[in-house]
This record gives sequence, C-alpha cells and structure tokens, in this order.
Amino acid sequence: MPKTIEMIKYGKILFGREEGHSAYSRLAEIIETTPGLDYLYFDFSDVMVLAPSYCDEVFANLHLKYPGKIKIPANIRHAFKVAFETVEETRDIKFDYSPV
Amino acid sequence: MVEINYKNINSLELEYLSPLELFESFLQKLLQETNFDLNSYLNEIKKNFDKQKNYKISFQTHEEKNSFYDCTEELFQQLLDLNLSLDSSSLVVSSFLEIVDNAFTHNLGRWPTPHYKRVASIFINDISKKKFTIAVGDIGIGFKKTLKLKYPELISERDAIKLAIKPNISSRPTDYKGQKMGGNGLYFLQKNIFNGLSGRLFIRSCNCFCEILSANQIQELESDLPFKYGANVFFELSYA
Repeated sequence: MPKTIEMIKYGKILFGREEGHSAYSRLAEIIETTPGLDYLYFDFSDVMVLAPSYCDEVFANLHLKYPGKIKIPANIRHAFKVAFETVEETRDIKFDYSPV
Repeated sequence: MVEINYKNINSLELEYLSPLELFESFLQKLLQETNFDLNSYLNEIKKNFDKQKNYKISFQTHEEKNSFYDCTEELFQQLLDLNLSLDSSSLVVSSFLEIVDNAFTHNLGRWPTPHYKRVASIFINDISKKKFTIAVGDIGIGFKKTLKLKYPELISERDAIKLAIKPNISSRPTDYKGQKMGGNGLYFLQKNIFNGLSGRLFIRSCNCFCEILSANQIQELESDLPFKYGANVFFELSYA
C-alpha cells in the first residue's frame, strides 16, 4: 500500500543539498523498512519553497535508487513543478506523477 | 562610501547602480580595513536607507548560509505583501537561496582569507516604479577562477558568466560514486526570469559586468571594473 509523506515535517523552506541529503536518508530508510510498501506519495501542503537543489538531492536520488517507489502529486503547484522539471531536465529522468 | 567611477553602469537605472556601489564599498572595506567595525557600518547603511523616500531597502550580510535561510520567511512575506502570487514568491525565494548557496559552495576552501568569508544580500523595492531588485554578492574568487579547474579553456570572466548560466555547469566535485551533481542554480534563475517571471538579470564577476539577455545571450556592460574579487547577481522584477 502507498504511504503519504507530509513534506512540511521536513520544513517550510525545503532547500540545500545537505538538508536534502538528510531527508533522502530518512526517506530511503522508510522505503527499505516499511513492510508491503507500494510507493511513497508526497504531500507538499504548507511548504513555502522547494528549491531545485533540494529536489535533486531528495527526489532524483530516490527515483534512481528505488525505481517506481516514489510518486509526485500531479496537481503540485506551479513553483514546485518548475523545480521538478528543472531536475528532470538536468538529470535526464522522468518522475512518476500521480493524482493519488 | 568608497567613490567608484563607473562608465556604462552610470547610464543604467539607479536600482542597479545602488546595490553595486553598496556591495563594493562594503567589500572594499572588508578588504582594506583590518579592524573594520561591521555593526557600525551596517547601522550607517540603515540610516542612509531610512532617508530614501521612494525606496524601501534592506541589507543583510552573513558568514553562514543558514543565517540567510532564517530570514527567508521574512523575504517571502515581503513579496506576498507586494501582491506577488504565491508561486512567483516561491520561485523568487528559491532562486535567491540557490544564488546564496552558490556563493558559499563555490568559494568553499577558496575564500581569499577566512576574514572575507561573507555573503551580502540587498532587497530594494522601488515603490514609485513598482519594481524590486534582489542582489547577492560575495568577495570570493569570481566565476572564472571557480570554473577554470573544470573548464580550463575559459579565458575571460565574460565567457565564464556565459557558461555558468547553462545547465549542469559547476565547480562542485563529483560525489562519492563519481556522479556529477549540481550546477543549476543560475540556470534555474535565468529559466525563471525568462520563462515566467519576466524580469532582468545582471551578473558581475570580478571586473566584468553583464546583463543576461536570454539563455544563450549576454551583453557585456563593463569589462574593466576596479575589482579583483567576488561576484554579484542581481535580478529585478516588476510587481505592478
């Protein structure tokens, strides 16, 4: 079954490679230790800023290390979509977007 | 303030001249005065700013990038107060933070001396023209020296600036798996400026000052500024 991750718990301002690496480690641990996990789904409610360096460090690395195990909300707001698109373009990857 | 005689820059609007002069006077003082009293200087700047009627200006300088993050919510709120949308405010703040991060990351271990390990930012709201400028500056090694290790063919600051706005261009070392990461802070900024926010972008590196006209086109405005150190990034947006 999917598990929803509330990104606000990682901060209002999601920024920085060091902070991103810490979040990546925590999320990788969740993927590896949650029995029966289909994928992680990310809720960005109340997050103010998502910088592409953070997005790269967290989501690109999760996508590459655990293919199919992360899904990004399809209705994510424009500013965050730009960060994801920048990472897709520069890392030559395609995230899985899902309405649920 | 240190008197600096600019040629072409003087023909630009005040919002570009002002932060450049301010940055440089501040950074020159750091370079020249061994007992530089930073707090007194910042108070003096604040007094001068408070006299401005058509401008609302805030100036910050920190030795650690985390100190900039602490002020980010305030910047975000300032942008919302100017009626920028939530998305535009978010893009501006993330662009600003990427530039701050660049200033610290690319100078890591290369600052001229530990005394200069400092980054400054300015937010200028030109109330009458309904425009604001955000500028970030450092007194590090500049673009050419930053990139030359990985791109030894670079011969000028102008070429280094032109290269730096492209994707995946970085002096950042590869990670432990040999994977190249980063180098997209300025790329992200120029992409936002030209593809959504409709602003203007200027970069100074050492003695060279350019306007970034598009993803592939820059215009050199000055190539003989009297500075051996540092870089500044300025971006301007309208909120009318």
